[in-house]
Amino acid sequence: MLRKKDEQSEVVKEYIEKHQEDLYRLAYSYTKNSEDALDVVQESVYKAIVNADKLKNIQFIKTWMYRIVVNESLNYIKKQKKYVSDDAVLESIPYEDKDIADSIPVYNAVQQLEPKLRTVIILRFYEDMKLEDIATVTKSNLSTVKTRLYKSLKVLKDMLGTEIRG
Amino acid sequence: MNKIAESKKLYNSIEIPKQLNSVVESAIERAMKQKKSKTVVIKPMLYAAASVSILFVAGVNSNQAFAESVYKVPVLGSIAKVVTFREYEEEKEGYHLKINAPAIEGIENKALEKRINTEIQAKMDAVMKHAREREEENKKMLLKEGKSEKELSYFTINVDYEIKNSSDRILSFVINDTESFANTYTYQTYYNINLDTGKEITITDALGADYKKVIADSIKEQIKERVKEHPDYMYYDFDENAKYYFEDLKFYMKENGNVVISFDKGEIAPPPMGLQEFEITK
Repeated sequence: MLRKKDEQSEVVKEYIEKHQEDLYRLAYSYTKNSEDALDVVQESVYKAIVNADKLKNIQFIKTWMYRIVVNESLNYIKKQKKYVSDDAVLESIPYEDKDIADSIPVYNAVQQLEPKLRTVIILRFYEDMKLEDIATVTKSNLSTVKTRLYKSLKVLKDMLGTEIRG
Repeated sequence: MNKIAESKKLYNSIEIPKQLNSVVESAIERAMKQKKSKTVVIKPMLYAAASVSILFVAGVNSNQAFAESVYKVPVLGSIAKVVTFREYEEEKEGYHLKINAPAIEGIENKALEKRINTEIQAKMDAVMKHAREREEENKKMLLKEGKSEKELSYFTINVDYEIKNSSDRILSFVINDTESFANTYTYQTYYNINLDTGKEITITDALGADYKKVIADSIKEQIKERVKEHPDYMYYDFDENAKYYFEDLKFYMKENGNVVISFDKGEIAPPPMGLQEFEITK
């Protein structure tokens, strides 16, 4: 029993080490500054290891881990109670790539979505997650995820004044 | 074409700070340590290593019985109450410590409220520190006597509180620090607050300037009665001139308005008599 638990935390540890950059990006898309994103990652990693034995099936490690990070991020936002402005988000990005330059308004619009809607968009389009998995991460049911997805797309469309998906 | 999917490039270009790896590694290390100490508590036979389990609930759990009794009374001023402020448990090789510490809130005199709460905090800290020191001392003694740490004696400390009076005018409560080693001792600390004036009630407020005589007369009389009823009871001589009785007088205000004087074990009677209370009737 003890051994299994230890193995479990080893697996979680390996996953975290391998995917720490993904976890950081996810956190950053909520906190919008690196210091707080590091805090969120730190707290998430700590909780994940301490609770590693609560992960029932190791196959679900990604959704499980993302859920922890999303929860921590949302907690962070709640605590901050302020909407972080997105002004500085794109400063360090090279503009040579025309495709990227075209994407900036879209990316910025995504960042302005209300956190729950943003979560769905980030997980779906940036993390390529299935809607079922997004439901697991956000602890909601599939139809809620679908509703949020459609709502996000509509809000984005309104913000950008154009069709998002052609 | 999917414009959102395209903007993923931007998402992926979020700069990764250099410290990320060390932050992650230190969080992992901290968590692993935490897990280990947890395992030790679950397996108490590992007595060689000190095992620490800390439970800290910062939430405010209001005392139900008290809250109800207060809310029933139409109170004009603020609602003063005693709440559980701190629950703490510590399990070590040489002792078990459990603290259920109160705090007061809703007292109009904020300075007094703060002072009492700080005082309670300091007292709790002292209790914890004292427990650790005592364990150390016990260990040292064992080594001196050439015994092994396995023979370490165990003591328990249990701190809890009790509300004695919760009318809309007076708030009286006691903190009991019960320590068991070979014997059990309970050290009491009383707080009495007049909610009208927002001040702590002194014994002079309660019984007047000649309180010593009032108390002494009443207690002497009560001792006589008690011994008459139970010939095996025994008390030390109580005298209004015996300074030490009045130095740290512990009392609370009963709901009927009477003052109740309380003595720790061994203070006014031989220790087997336990805690002793005397209600001073006016």
